[in-house]
Amino acid sequence: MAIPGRTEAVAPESGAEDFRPPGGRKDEAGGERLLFRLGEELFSFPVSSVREIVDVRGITHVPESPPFMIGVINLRGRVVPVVDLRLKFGLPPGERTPDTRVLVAEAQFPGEQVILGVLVDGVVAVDDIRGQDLAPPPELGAGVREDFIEGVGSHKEGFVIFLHLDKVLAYEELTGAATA
Amino acid sequence: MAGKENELNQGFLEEAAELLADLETGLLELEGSPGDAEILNKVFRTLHTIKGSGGMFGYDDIAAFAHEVEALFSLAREGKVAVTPDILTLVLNCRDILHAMLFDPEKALGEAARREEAVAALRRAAGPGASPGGGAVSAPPKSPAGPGGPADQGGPETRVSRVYRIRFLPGADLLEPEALVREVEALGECRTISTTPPPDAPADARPSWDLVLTCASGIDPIKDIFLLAGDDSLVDIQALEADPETEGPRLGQILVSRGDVSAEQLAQALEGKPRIGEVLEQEFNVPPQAVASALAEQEALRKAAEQRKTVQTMGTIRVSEDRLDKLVDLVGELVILQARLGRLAQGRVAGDRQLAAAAEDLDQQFQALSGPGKPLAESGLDEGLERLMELSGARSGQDRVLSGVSEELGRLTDDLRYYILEMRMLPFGSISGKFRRLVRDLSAELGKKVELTVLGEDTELDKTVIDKLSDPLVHILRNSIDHGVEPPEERQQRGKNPQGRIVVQAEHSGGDVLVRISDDGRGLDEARIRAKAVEAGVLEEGAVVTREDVLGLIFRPGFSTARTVTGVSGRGVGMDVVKKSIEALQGSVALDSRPGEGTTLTIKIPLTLAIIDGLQVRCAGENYIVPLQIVNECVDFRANGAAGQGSRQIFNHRGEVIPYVSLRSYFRLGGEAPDMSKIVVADVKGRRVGLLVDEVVGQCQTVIKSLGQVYRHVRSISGASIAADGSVVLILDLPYIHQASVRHTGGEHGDSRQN
Repeated sequence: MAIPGRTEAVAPESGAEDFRPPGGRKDEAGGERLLFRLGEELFSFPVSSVREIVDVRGITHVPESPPFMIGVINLRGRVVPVVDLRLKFGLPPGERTPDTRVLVAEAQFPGEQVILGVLVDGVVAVDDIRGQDLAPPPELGAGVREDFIEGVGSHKEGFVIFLHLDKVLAYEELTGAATA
Repeated sequence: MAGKENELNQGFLEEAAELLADLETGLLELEGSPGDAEILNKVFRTLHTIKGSGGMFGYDDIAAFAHEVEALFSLAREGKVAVTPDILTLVLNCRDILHAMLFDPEKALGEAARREEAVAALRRAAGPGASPGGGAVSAPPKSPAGPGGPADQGGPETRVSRVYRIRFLPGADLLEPEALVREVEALGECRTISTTPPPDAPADARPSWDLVLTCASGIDPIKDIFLLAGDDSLVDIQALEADPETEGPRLGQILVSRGDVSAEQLAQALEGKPRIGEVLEQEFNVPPQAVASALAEQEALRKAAEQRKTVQTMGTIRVSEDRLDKLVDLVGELVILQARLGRLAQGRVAGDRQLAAAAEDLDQQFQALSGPGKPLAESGLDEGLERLMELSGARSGQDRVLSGVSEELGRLTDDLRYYILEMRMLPFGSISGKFRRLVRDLSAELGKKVELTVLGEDTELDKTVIDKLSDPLVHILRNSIDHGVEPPEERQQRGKNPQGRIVVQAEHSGGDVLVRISDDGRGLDEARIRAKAVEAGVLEEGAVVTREDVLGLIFRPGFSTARTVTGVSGRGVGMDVVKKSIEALQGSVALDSRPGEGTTLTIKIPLTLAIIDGLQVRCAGENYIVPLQIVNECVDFRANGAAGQGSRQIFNHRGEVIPYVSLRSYFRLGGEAPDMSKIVVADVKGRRVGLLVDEVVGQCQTVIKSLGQVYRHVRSISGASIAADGSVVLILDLPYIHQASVRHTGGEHGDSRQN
């Protein structure tokens, strides 16, 4: 499943500095995935949708917005909204650690492509893993809505839940138009 | 390469949008002066370009449709079809069809019938003139110039002829170049000068030709002929502008433009020759004043022509808005970085002063202890001290340079920002074409006569402001035509000119732009508005209200006094939307109306939306910005234990009772308010209101950024900005906050969308 040597090529855990994933768009359930942690569990997004990974710095809270929209950051002059994925998934709030990162991802909103930040507990790896179109074992992905999950894959660090980025970061989800 | 193709397509669409706008302008101009050959030509050229580029980019249906319109204009240009208002309406309609075909294909699909109808109408309008040999529909055909004229159907004299200069150097392989020359000669009136190679030229030298062709068939047939000339022939075809107003270029100029005589040679040849004016004066006793006056006129004409030329040749580059926005972003970043550098430099300079003072102190203490027989004599500390002083001196020297560099960077950044913002400026005239069309169509629809005058078209505004200003202005114009300007008969009865007059004027006023829309119509009917307000329950019967306040009611949502609901206006959507959109632009609307004399709306908006002056405040550890424009003053405020509940309260400021909103409770920021806090008093919709915050940080210039779609529902925040420390600061929408806090009296506000 994992292609040896792939992980070394790009940012491993706590690879600290910003990095940009290599090009090559493979959006199928598989291909290169960016693995990250929420608590003890592993999740992944397609690498092609993640623009860069940045350290957490000065998040400005925006009032009148759902609690999982924790605010906005300044990404080189651009105001980027940040979603706390733990809160979005209904998990208890996490502590900020030196591993906490913001994934800067591209999402499709009605009529435009937007840039969003996704707060995660840590980035694990970028790996080429195959997902299986299976429902995750019940002990995995607790609290994560089923329609957010695309499949499950396995990695040397453990099972990985493949997330539907476009569904998790859909306009209705983030504006609270849908029931969270 | 789909991307590349897309880009090209995008380029075509952008160009087409501009061409269609030009077309519209041209057509409307033509309405004012139907016979103007220059405008006719312009319109024709525009149509031709649309057809050409449409075909090139595979928009065949557009090319075909444009061709139909072009065909009609070709006849109009030749004077075979008179440009009547009906034809203009038809062609304007065609323009709209073209627009839909390009930008709204779905709508265009549903309009196939409309398109066919238009084509049929175009052909009808072209009439018999369209078929060769047919008689002209209008335009008095002058008697033909006699036999031997160019072989052309119809009356050749009525065609618009152009002059082409053709230089032809046939390639070595071309057989019979003379045949091509003869073909060209057959196109129209032609003067041919052939240059045979001198006897001593190499054997393979070929003759060359200079042709001056006057013909009405356009440049394409000439080009077609020379297609046969092959690649190694040199063919230069130039259309010469024959300006009917002037006598045409002089011989010397022509020779220079052909490269046969250099400008210097011409100047030399002309030198020493008496001027024609002098000759006339001396030989024919023409009064010198007459000559001087004629010369002045000549000078004026020349200047006007030159000016036109510069306008035409001013270099422009098409840059996508995205790139400009990116540039604005980057400059915003640069401004922030520069501010940080400035602070660092200041800090270092201040540090240096302290360091120098400390070193000085140390030195004095040392001196006191290091005299002969004192404890520190011979300690060797003096050398260390000396070194410290030296280092401190060197450091402060460097830091002075650093702060110099920082200041210089600041100046450069300011300049850069200025020029980049200037790049985003567009003249007000770029949207006024739309207004002309609107006035034309609407007044025709409503059977009114309205003349629109647009003043200050060169007043420049930021692109974003212009874009957002367009719709409100259209609304206002609609209202003016629909409700303001009376029907011609009514106007006549009142002793007014049957033709109504609407003036749209844009002008700068400090950092703002004022746009005034005035009509000379019936004015707002105070009694009717009052009645309507009473009916709607907005106003109590017999309430004592000033005229101003009554008129202001038209800005309320759902308020319309139109007796009949027309398709144009009268549905009560309008003025409130106008007001809202103008306020969203940080602007304001003022209304002035006199019964029977007309109504004037004055819109005041900032020049640019990209940058505003803001007042930075702090509350519960968070920074916010209030647009400085609306801030009156900042007042110290001591929390009063007896203060009521909720976010909205009142306080007494020098005898004036001012309602205020506590930002802390409005946003539910939590935490304890400090003993001493501040109230920012601002002007909101003509009323003084307060905003209670912990602290006022100070003024700042700020680059406005959008929070984006995710936060579209957040109404209390109008945007964001990046502070000097790189953090994002939210800009408060004070008018909304006050409005909302009135609605939720008792502080129901906050993260209401949480559930």
